[in-house]
Amino acid sequence: MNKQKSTLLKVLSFVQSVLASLVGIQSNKKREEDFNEGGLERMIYVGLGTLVLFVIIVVTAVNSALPS
Amino acid sequence: MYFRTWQRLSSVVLGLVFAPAAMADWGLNMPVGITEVSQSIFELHMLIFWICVWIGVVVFGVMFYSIFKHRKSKGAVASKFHESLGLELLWTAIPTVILIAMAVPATSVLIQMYDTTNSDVDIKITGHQWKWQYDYLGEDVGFFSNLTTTTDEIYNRTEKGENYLEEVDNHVVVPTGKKIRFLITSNDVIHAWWLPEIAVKKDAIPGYINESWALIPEGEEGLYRGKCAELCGVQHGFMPIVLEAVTADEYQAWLDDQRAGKVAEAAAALGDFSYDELMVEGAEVYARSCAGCHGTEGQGMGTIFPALAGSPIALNDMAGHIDIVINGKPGTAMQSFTAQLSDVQIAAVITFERNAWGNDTGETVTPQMIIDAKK
Repeated sequence: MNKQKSTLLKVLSFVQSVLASLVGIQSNKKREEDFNEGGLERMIYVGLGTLVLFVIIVVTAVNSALPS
Repeated sequence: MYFRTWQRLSSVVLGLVFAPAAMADWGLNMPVGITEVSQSIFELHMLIFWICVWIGVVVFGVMFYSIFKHRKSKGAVASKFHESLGLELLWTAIPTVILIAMAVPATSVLIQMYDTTNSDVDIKITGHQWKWQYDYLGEDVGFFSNLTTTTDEIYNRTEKGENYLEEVDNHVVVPTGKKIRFLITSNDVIHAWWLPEIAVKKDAIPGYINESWALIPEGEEGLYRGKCAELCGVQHGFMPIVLEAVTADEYQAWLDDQRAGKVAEAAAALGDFSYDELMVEGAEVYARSCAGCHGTEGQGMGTIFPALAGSPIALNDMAGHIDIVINGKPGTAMQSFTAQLSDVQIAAVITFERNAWGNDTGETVTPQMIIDAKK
């Protein structure tokens, strides 16, 4: 149970780091944590997922703004 | 000394305060225009302008206040910190919110501008060096629009007219109260069809068709002037646009006149023309369509536009002379005039070129010879 919780927290932490990279703001402490804990592959996966999500949001926003 | 400094500062402040009035006098701001779209664009422009002004006032206000309040002579010491997450988030979030707030009305206006559907009148506009061609799609009406400002005005040999470089022989006539779609392209280089009063400014690109539209409200009949807005060669400034907005009934009558004129022109080509008639007509056509490149006295211009006075082709080779006017000369700036001039006009201008400026060949080129050469 605790292990599951820990994994979920890690994923959330990755997501937070990726979102922070999108806006270009991250605390020093968090950046060091990201580098020390490694997990480059996971970071790339989360980054790609976020990119796809961003594209979907943009496409949806444009389609909703354009007259049908 | 201090009095003078304050006097100067006051002048600057007063100048800034009354800037809008001053700008209106100088005509620095963009025109409001006559269409709904042009007014939306103007309102958007002013909204963004004032947002930028207030951002400037706040940012520079805080900056100058801080510089003054925390100056070194008062013992201020700079704080030294590496990062401030809260502050960074704040200065990222505020511009993001402002940009989104600006994007909403901007998107709305853009969608309005690009909605070229359900048009009542379709006009294809083709840019040429250096004139505009208008074709009313589905109406069998089309013509070229040439600058009518004389070369004497251009070269300061006479006083410049009221509409200097903003006058043409054929206006692009459109009805008010109808949605007009413009299909804009080019025959040679990139031009841009720009008419500020209806907020249309579109590049005319060879091989592409750009679209735009305008709906001029009823009651706004009149003449509106524009120009090419893309540097397109040595006579870029000599291809103005004159749009004539008329009522729907007047527009219909104008279309009928244009069609009748075309039929009459074709019939006229089969008639007889004297040497003198062709010379008079030819001089007019030459001044309008040829003098820009070949010179008012047929003297040419540099190595690009050859002289016609004393030219072998104008003195000897009549068939070649007719051919080059009808078909143009590939690889040179000499374009085909078949679509631009009627058979009578082509015959007249060639007759003129073969008998003016000492080219006294005494030869007459008839419209029938042009019809035969085109076969």
